Amino acid sequence: MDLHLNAPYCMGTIVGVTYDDGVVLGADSRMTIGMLVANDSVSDKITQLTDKVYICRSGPAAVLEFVSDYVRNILDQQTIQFGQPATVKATANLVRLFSYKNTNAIQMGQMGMIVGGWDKYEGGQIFAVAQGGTILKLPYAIDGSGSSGIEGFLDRAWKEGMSKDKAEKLVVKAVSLAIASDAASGGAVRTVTINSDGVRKNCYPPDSLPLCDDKRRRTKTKKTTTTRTERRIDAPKP
Amino acid sequence: MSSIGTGYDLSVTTFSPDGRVFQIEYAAKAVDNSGFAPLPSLSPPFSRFSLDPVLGTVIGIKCKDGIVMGVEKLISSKMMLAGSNRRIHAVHRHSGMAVAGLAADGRQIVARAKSEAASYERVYGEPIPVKELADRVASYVHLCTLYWWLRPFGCGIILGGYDREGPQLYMIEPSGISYRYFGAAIGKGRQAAKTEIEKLKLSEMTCREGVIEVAKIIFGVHDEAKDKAFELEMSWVCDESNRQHQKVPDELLEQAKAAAKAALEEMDAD
Repeated sequence: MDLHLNAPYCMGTIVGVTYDDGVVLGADSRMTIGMLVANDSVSDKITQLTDKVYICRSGPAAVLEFVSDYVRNILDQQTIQFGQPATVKATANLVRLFSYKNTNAIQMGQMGMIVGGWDKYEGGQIFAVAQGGTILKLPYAIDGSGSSGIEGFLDRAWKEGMSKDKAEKLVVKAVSLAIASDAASGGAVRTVTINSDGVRKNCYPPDSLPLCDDKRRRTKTKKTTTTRTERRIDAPKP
Repeated sequence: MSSIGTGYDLSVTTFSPDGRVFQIEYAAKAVDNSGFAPLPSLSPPFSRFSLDPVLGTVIGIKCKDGIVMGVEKLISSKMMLAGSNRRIHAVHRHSGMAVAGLAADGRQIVARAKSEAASYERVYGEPIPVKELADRVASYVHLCTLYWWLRPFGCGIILGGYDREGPQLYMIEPSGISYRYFGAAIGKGRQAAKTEIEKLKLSEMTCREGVIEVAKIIFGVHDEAKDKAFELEMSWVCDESNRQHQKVPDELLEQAKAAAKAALEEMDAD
């Protein structure tokens, strides 16, 4: 039910993967209004919720900004009360409660979020909060309009126990592939890497991304030749 | 000895000139005298049963792998079914509460604690940390000391739980103060119990051993002359119970009682 046709959307592509030491979150930076691209460079779809927990948001821009602010507010108070930052699970739970309780609100639209972070009890964790408020703890997650194109890619490419650089390259590759095949994804790829040492943010401008459009793909494939001997179907086999 | 606050003790919202709130101190007395039988001089309508809501001494210790809590439940009537009338309540899977003082007040606090634990889990998706639970219960107890139309709770609480930070033991007083302890005792026999607890080497003791020590202490502080019979109720939350709060298993309880009785006889023989 999309009644707010003139509201900005941050559909795009969001990705979150765990690696041996923590998590890497990635997103594109395109904002669309209806069928027009509103902005390709400014939006940062990965928002901080607490020291080491970030959320990737995909969906109506205003709603998602509000969710982030709301959850961050609650967690600030909780951190002061406890003397230590909230765990990833608690943060993800707050996000999904908001999503669940407001599923029927008109502005919600298609909303998918990935909450990823690091805490000292369970290490790096990724929680996918899907439309309606389902919460899933996963080793890697994708969401957004461009995610359907890279489902297979990520299933194949993600390996358990990757190093930080490999994981970050994987995320950049995944988002680049999505950008190539989805109209609502584009712009730069932003990544946030979270582990026990802290948080590191990176931005890969559009011209630095591996080109994933068709022409390049075709020229990059190895040419293989196969030989086939013609044989009558009822001829005896050698 | 305690001073009588003439004129300044009529309401919990009145301070005395030397800065004390007497009603809270009187509430603490209700806890301290826990186990005190009502005077036989009271007239028939106030029979022994209806005016005996108080519990015996309550003890909690923190061993190296968990918490053990024990209650000396005074039996006010031979007609009471043994094992009924539990005084140690589970607040959440990982924590339990033993109350000394007015039992009905205690029930109210336990209900509140259970609801706090449940609401925390609903919002944050994880079991409530024991420290947070203790803070919330203490705030609630304190709340009831702030208004003239409420009276303070007449009970002290020993809260034991095991969360990600390890086993923790808290004691909450009627004034709303909550502190974390290695060993705590409330009720009539608390002085003697505290002396005994201080002698124990708690950091090296496992909960199995702790159960036996607590039983010995409770049997030791029980006043044979004044009070007739009592029932020993114990619970623990430790590695052995899988970090869940539960009643101490029956065979261990029997073992503890036997050891405690033997220790008493040894002491009497001296």
